Amino acid sequence: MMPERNAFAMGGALLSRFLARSRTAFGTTASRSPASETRCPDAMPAWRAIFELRRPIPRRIRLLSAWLGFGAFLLVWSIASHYFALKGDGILFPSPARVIGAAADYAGYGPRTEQRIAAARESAALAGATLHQSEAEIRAAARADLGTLWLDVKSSFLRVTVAFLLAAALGIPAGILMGSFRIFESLLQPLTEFIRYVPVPALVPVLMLFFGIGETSKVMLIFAGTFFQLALMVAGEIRRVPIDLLQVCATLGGTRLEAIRRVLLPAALPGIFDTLRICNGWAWTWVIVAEIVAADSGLGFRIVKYQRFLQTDKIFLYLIVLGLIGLLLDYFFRQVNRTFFHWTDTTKR
Amino acid sequence: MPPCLELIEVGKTYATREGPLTALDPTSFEILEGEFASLVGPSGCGKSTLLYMIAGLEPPSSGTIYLDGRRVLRPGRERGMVFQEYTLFPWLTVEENIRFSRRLSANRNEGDLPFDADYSGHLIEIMGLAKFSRAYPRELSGGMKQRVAIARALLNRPRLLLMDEPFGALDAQTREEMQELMRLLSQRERATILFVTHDIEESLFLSDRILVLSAHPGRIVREVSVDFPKERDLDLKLATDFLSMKRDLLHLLRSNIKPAFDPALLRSKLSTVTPLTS
Ligand SMILES: Nc1ncnc2c1ncn2[C@@H]1O[C@H](COP(=O)(O)OP(=O)(O)OP(=O)(O)O)[C@@H](O)[C@H]1O
Ligand SMILES: [Mg+2]
Repeated sequence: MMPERNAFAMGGALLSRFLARSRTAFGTTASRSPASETRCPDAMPAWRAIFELRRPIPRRIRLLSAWLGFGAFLLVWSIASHYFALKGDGILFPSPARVIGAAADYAGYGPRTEQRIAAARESAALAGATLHQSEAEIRAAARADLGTLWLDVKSSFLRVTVAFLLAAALGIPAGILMGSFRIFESLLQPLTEFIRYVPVPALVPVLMLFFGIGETSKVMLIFAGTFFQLALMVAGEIRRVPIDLLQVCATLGGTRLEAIRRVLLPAALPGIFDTLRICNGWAWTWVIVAEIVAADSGLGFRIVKYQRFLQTDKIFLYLIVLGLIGLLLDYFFRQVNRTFFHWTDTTKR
Repeated sequence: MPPCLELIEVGKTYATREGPLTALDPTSFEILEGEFASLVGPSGCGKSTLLYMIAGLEPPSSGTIYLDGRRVLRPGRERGMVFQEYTLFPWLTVEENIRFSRRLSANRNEGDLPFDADYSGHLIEIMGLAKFSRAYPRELSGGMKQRVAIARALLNRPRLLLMDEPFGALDAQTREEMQELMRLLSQRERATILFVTHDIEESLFLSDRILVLSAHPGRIVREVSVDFPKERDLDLKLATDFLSMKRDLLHLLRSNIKPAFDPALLRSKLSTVTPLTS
């Protein structure tokens, strides 16, 4: 028990030292608002400052807690996989280590590859002959999986992008029409709302009947899953533009089309771009649904295939790849938004 | 001088959930060319409604509005407007905001208008915005925002400039600065201005003529000519005849407003309540 208690005590000491150091950082953040200046930030314990409502926290603590979140996730994952291993179903639920191993296999140096090499050596030794397959060949075969992954990423990405661009190209104009003119709103909005609530997977059978099991039906599924949402959200963004700005434009001599082009569109553009970001996320959901149903490549297809061979570690790896793709695309959209629409920055300086 | 703007029995009734609501009783008046006229009235008496109808943003329920003898049916570039709220385009810089009207087809190829970069530069200069011409609206104070809005409207050289309590959201100090600026501007740019306010002092200082509206529903109860010299400075507000006019108008307004509470009744009610002791 003793060492553990020591560890706790040490952890506590470290934490309080850490917080004490970050207190200076708080002082500078807090002194921006006069209200907190009078309250004297130094008198407030650091842990209380962290839990102030909507108050920014120091960068160090922000990063630390982000890592903490991931750490907790890994911990829960490990515990779950241990539980499955104890039940004897370890193969069904891979531990983090096994998933890392699977990743190493993709580079040609994982446990599965080493196992294969060892087995080949053994059989070669038994037969008293040279290796049936050279070590380099086995490693190269393992690396071929990486090629498969790349192919899957490419074909999923292509499907998502084609469908998403199609949905954006039609959904943005439709949304602008619905948001700008009441007549188009009453013409299209109820219909769109209705179609939006038809669950997209329910469309799979008819889409396959209409378009076969080729690329078209997948693209159409993703399109159906994003277009209606996108149009409605764009309409919402357009409607959120204050009417005063339109009135200003009118009193300066602007025509209706100019009001759309010069006022509604630029005012709603950051919101529209954010809508695109969200819809792109949904498109990735629908591509997986489409590929699970019928495909010969793609991340969703491969996940089902690995399921048949109980290669759950590879499935987890694919899930991680999916998460990373989402994160990257999200980052890309946000970054573009920040670069082009810095005027929306509402923080006071 | 010919009338620039003419209103004949213009009234407005809104259809609300509780039934029709008369915001403005039928009203007639004229604004002469080059005149600075003010509409004064208590809150909710229909001043904004009236201005929106003149701008063409809201159709009147009755009566007709003429600008230079032509009937007003829709908004147009010859009637500029400065709004009660801040209405700058947040994605444009100060300069781009001021020059916005030049991107509109209605204002291109207008040979008779001094549509050159000089004029916007000139406006930016006299509005004291030179240092901020590349700033975005979120970086501006309230006073600066309204100055940009005024410059934006002026750049178009409107026949008539409508201003709806443009300084309502400003603090007393900035407000007085803006009043002085506005007086100078109206003299220099020779604009015809219809200015809405509920501040009698402001209207006296700025205007050549004041139209006083009664409380809801609005109706013109008096027309006052303000005959102070054309060149005015803030000291005018302390002159005896200014103060006496202000007193008269204040009394007129008060007699027209139904008070929100009866002071005598309130006093008697308060006397039955035990006062808080510290
Ligand atoms: N769109 C509308 N629908 C229904 N009623 C309205 C509408 N706009 C204004 N009103 C009513 O008309 C009356 C006059 O409003 P208006 O905004 O013109 O007043 P105002 O004189 O400009 O007041 P303030 O000085 O507070 O700006 C008010 O009673 C208001 O409730
Ligand atoms: Mg008003």
